[in-house]
Order: sequence, then structure tokens, then C-alpha cells
Amino acid sequence: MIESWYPFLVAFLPFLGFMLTGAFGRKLGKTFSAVVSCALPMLSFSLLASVFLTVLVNDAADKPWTGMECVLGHWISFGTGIRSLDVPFVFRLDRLSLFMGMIVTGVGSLIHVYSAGYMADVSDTRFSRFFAYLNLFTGMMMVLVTGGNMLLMFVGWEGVGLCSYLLIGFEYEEDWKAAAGMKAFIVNRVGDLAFILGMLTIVTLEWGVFRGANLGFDHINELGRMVGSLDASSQWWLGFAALCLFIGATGKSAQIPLFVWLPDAMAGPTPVSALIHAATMVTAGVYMIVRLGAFFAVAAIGDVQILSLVAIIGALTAFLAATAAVVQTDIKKVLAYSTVSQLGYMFMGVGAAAYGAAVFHLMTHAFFKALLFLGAGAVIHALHGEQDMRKMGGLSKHLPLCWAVFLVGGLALAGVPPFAGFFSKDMILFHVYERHWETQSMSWLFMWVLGVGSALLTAFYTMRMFCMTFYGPTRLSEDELAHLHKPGLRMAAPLQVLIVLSVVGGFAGLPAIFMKDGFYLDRFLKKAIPVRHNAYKAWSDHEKAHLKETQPEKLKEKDFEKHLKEHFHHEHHSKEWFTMIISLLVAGAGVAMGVMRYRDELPAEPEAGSMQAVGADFLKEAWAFDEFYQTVIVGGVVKISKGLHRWVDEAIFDQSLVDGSGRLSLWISELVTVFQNGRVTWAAVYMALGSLAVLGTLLYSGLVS
Amino acid sequence: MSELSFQSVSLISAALFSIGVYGVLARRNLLIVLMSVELMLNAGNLMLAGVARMNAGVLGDSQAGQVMILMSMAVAACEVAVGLSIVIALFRHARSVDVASPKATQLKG
Repeated sequence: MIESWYPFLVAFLPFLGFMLTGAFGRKLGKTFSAVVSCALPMLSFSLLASVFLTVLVNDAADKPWTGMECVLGHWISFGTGIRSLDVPFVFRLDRLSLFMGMIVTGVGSLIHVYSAGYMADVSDTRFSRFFAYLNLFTGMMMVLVTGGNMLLMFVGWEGVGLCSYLLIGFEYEEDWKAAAGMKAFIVNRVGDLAFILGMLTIVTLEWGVFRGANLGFDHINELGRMVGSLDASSQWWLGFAALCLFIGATGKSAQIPLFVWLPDAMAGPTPVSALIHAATMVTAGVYMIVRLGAFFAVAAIGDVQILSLVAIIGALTAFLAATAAVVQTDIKKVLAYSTVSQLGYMFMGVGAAAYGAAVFHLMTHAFFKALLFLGAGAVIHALHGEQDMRKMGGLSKHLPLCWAVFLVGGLALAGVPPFAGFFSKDMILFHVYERHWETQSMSWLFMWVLGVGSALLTAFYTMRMFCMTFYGPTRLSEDELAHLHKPGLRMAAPLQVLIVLSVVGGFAGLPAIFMKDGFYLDRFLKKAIPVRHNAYKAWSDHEKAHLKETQPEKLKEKDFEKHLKEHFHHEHHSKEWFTMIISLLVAGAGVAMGVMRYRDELPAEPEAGSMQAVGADFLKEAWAFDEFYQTVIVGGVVKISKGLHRWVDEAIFDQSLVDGSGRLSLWISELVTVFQNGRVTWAAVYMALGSLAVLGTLLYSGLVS
Repeated sequence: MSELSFQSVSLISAALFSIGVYGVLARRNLLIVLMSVELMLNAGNLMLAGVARMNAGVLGDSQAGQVMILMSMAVAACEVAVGLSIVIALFRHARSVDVASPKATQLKG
């Protein structure tokens, strides 16, 4: 690792923007805020781009580039000897963080520029506040991806959660928007709790193995590589730690069971949805699991591999969210559920140990989802705030740029070649299928089927969204059509850039059947991803075990290994073609069905109360997860609180302790009042008794005889 | 005439004192209480006289004791004057000299 200021700088520059815009934006006006806060992430991006070029040059010259590090000193120094925790304040820029960082600052800068156009009509104070928050978010996200250990990553993790709250609830004057912001933060926090538990478990594991813990990624991946030498209880705790971290990831990346905040998060302004919920924050969970790849690869609780759990949850989430997106009427909600669904794909990829594929899908998704969100923002902006697709239609002639945006972004999302989404989605599905082929287990096949089903639904709802908005008879009035607010340059330019990226982005990852050494992105990231899945080994182990039971004599044939390898390569290629053709068919079918159903007129709404309506409502509310949480968890907590209030607050504290001590004092004083009836002669009695007592004491003690 | 023994004087003095104590503690009429206070004072004076007589031969004569008695009586006279003015003040406030009357027992509780 080279020592350099770059890793720290790329994270710090957006913070500088936050401080400048936050402090001076109000007085110095919108131009100042916009220029400063757009320039600084762009500066970070250019720094990262220059490093990227260096890497490319080095790779071409076969000189390996191992990464840069920036250590700013000790952060936590606690304990001595084996049970110590020594966490340095270190930023690291290796291929993976370089890649993530470029996506964050690159797409982020485009969204900053877009926001300058989108928020042009608000007051100076609001404008500067918005851009300050955007920069703070970018800075926190950069800390997350460049943090050199778990603790610094967690700072960024929580920081983006905070900024998510600030930005979603930006227009907090409306109660439901503020509530959406709180919901996002609180659900995230549940995940953060699990994350902290995971970190603490890792510290304990480190204490058992290394001489002191530092929560560094190298330590943790090393724990994964040496898992065989740990005892059974430590292995269990390793699995537990991975499970906790994964639950944290489900909170941040909106998977089952903690995805419920993301649809509500559409309450924030559209650029916020684009930045946070499409391109950056929600990918943090995927990034974390890839970072700790060697750790997750071996983590298991009992017989259950944690990565299998990751993949199952990803597949289920992808499917659930896709079904929900099909029935949404708000254009942003469609995109929100679509994001949850695509994140499910990324988790499926990670669970199938296809780290390169998952990260590739992360990149393409950032491009086309940001494109779609910004395009939706342009449409909403043009229609002066209308978000319901049932009130749109026929806009293809009036908003040509937005039409192009949705066409390209939609086809990319649906997985139609040559647009970006096809390559990445297909790669993930292939790896899932490959996992099934290696292990011959039905669960992987089930996941592949769910993935394919989700792809079909994705294509369908994408075309539904596209046609409802841009085709068919327009449901807008003449007056509204005349007053469409077309997007200006600041909004249009980022859209155009993202269109280009959505088209060409896929070629970073042409699959192996077209390219010799496996796809380029995988090779680029090779050293940064801590573990590789050896498909051949996994498959051949299984095959050999199978043959041992059925035809043991085959194992002793000569050239057995060579034949096995040839068989593998042949099968491998044919499987890749197979999954690719299925993906193509499914995408095509979905697109066709969507276009046919929605191109001309909206289909009739199902009658209220009919089976169809009930089913549609169930899907619309994301399979009633929200209702479940509301009744069981929120309702339960409220009931317990009310009970505690009645039995502890009121009965014990208010009545017994506070009122009781008052009543006690009064009762005692009433006892004492008996002595003070105001009669002077009684005072004389007490005086006499007192003097007798004194006299008696004196006599008794012998002072007076 | 038989000699009056010291024992008798002490006894009478003690008896008078006790009657005075009873009067102070147990009577409701403030004037009676005052009289009882006087009685206690004079019982003390009587005791003084008896002790002076008894010690006459030993310490020379009994004039010292009798002078003390005269001084005590002077003090008693002043004290009665003050006490009676308090009674008058109470009477003006309470329209009675009963220590248990409502207005006299306002300083209660």
C-alpha cells in the first residue's frame, strides 16, 4: 500500500462543501451554494479518476497497483496485550473502494447538478440547506467506502442513515414527510443495532485468534481464511457475527425484513431518491459483504451457510418487490420497489459468491436507476407536482427528453441488450444457476426461478410505467399540457450523460463466452475481492463424491481428471448460453406483455371487494409487511407502554411515592398537633415536665446529690 | 412557746409550692394562674426565712436571709405588674381571661 493523502481527501472534500454551504449558503445565495457543492464532489471524482487512470496504466504495463492508504493516527486504544482494541483512523483506496467511490462521486455529481435545476425555485435558505445535506451525504458515503476498518465504515454507515433522514424529511413542514424520514432512520437503526452486535462479536473472535483486535478488513478476512483451525464454538460465533452484519445490511439495503422504509422514502425530493435510494446508500450492504468476502464465504451457523441465507433473502425480496411494483400508481413508488427488487438481485449475486457480478450490477443499476429517478423528477417537475400515473399519458411528444430517458432506462432495467442492465442481471442469474448445477440442490434452482420470474415482472412493470406515462390518450387537461415546465439545461445535461452510461455501461462486463478471460470488471477488481469462488473445484468435488457412491470404478480410469475438466468446460459454456437465452426470452416476453396491455388505454380498475382488488391491495402494500409491523410491533410496544404507564408511572410513582410521602407528612404532623392546642398552661406543663427530666438526669448521673 | 422546727417550715413551704404548681398547670382562669405564681414565689421566700433562722447561730445573725426575702418580694411586685398588664392585653383581645377560650388559643397547631 502506498501512503498518500488521496484516500482522505476524496472523503473530506464533500465535507468541506457541507461546511461552506451550510455556513455561508444562506447569505451568499443560491449560485454560491450550487457552485461550491457541485464542484467539490466533482473534484473528488476527478481525483479518483486520475487514480483510476494510473491503475489502468499500471495494469497494462503489468505493474501491480496495490492501493493507497492514509493513516491519520490512533482512534481507539483500549486495553493491553491480547484483549486490546486498537483502531486506527485510516482511509484506504483499493480497487473496490476506487470503483465504488467513482460511482458515488460520479453519479452524485450529476445529481448535484440536476438538483440545482430541480430546486431552483425555492428560497436561498432551503436551497443551501439542501445542498449542504447532499454534500454531507456524499462525504459520509465516501467515508463508508474508503474507511479502512469496520468502525470507520460504520461511521459512514450511520452518517448516511442520518443524511437519509435529513433529506427524506427535507420538507418537514408536512407531517407525513417528516414521519417518512423518521421511519427510514428508525428502521435503519434496527439494522445498525445488529451491525454493532456483529462488530462486537468480531472483536471477541479477534481476541481469541490475534494479538489484539483492530476491526480491520484484513484481520476479518484472515479470520475467514483460517476458520478451519477454530474450535466449533468460535465457528458458531463467526457465523453469528456474519448473520448480525447481514441483518444490518438488510436494514441499509432494504431487504426483507427491513425494507419497509424505502417506499415511504419517496416523500423526499426526487434527486434525493435518485442519489440515496438508487445509486449509493442502499448499495452499502452489498459493498460490506463484498469487502468481507472471505469472512462471509465460510460463515455458517450449524449447517446453514450465511451466504445461502443472503441469497434466499435476496431472491425473495427481488420477487416480492417486483410483484409490488406491478400494481403501484405513483411513478416514484414503482421505482422504489424496483430498487428493492434490484438490490435483491445484488444480494442473490453476493450469496452465490459472484462478487464481481454483484458489484457490476451495482454499477449498472446506479446508472439506469438514477437515470429513471431523475427522469421521473423531470416529469413530475414538468407536471407541477403530479406523481400519479393514472393522471398522465400521451407525453411522448411533449417531453421528448424524458421519453428518451424512460425508454433507455426502462429497457436497461428490463434487461434488454445491449443496454446495461442485461449483462449484469444475466451474469447474476447465471451464477445462481451455476450454484445449482454444482450442488444439485433445489434451493438454488428455486432462487434462479424466482430471479427469472422477477425479471419477467421487471420488464412488465417497466413497460407499464413507460406506457402509462408516455403513451395512450392523455389524461391531462389542455390547460395543463400548455403549461408543461420542460427541464432546463441543469436537469437535462445529467440526464443525457446517464443515458449514455446506461447504454455503454454494460460492456464493462461482457460475459466469458464472448471474452477470453472472464469479464473485465472482474479482472479489474480481482485483487480487491478477498475470495474467489472456484466453480470447477466445487463442481468436481460434488461429482467425485457422487461417482464414488454410484460408479467407483470410473474414478480410477486414466485421464479421469482431464475428461472431467473437458466435461466441465463444455457444460459450463452450454449452461451460460442456456441462462442467457432464458433471460432474453423473459425480458422480451415481459416487454411485449407490458406494451400490449398498457399502450393504448389503461385497463379497467378491478371492482372494489373483488378477489382481484384484494389481491392488488395486498401486493400494493408490499405483502402487508407494514401492516404486520404496525399491529404486532408498534401495537405491542404501545400496549406495553400504556401498561407500564398505568402500573408503574401512576400507581407506583405518582400515587404511592409522591402523593404518599405528602400524606405521610400530613399524618405525622397531625399526630404532633395534639401537643399544640394553644393553651398557655399546657406549655407550662411541658416546661415542668422538662425541668423534672433535667433534674432527674442530674441526680441520676451523680452531678447533684 | 415551743420552737418552730425547720422541718415544719420546709414542709409548709413545699406544700405551698405544690399548691402553686397545681394552680399554674391546671386552672383556666389566668388571674388564678397569676396568683398561683405568686404563691410559688412566696413559698420560696418562706423557705428562705426558715433557712436563715436555722443558720442564725452559725453564720452570725439572720439578717442576710431576711434581706434576700425583701428583695425577692420587690421583684415579685414588679413581675405582678407586668403579668397583670399581659392579662389586660389578653382580655382586650379575647374578652375573657379563660386560657382555653378560642381567641386565646389561636397559636395552636
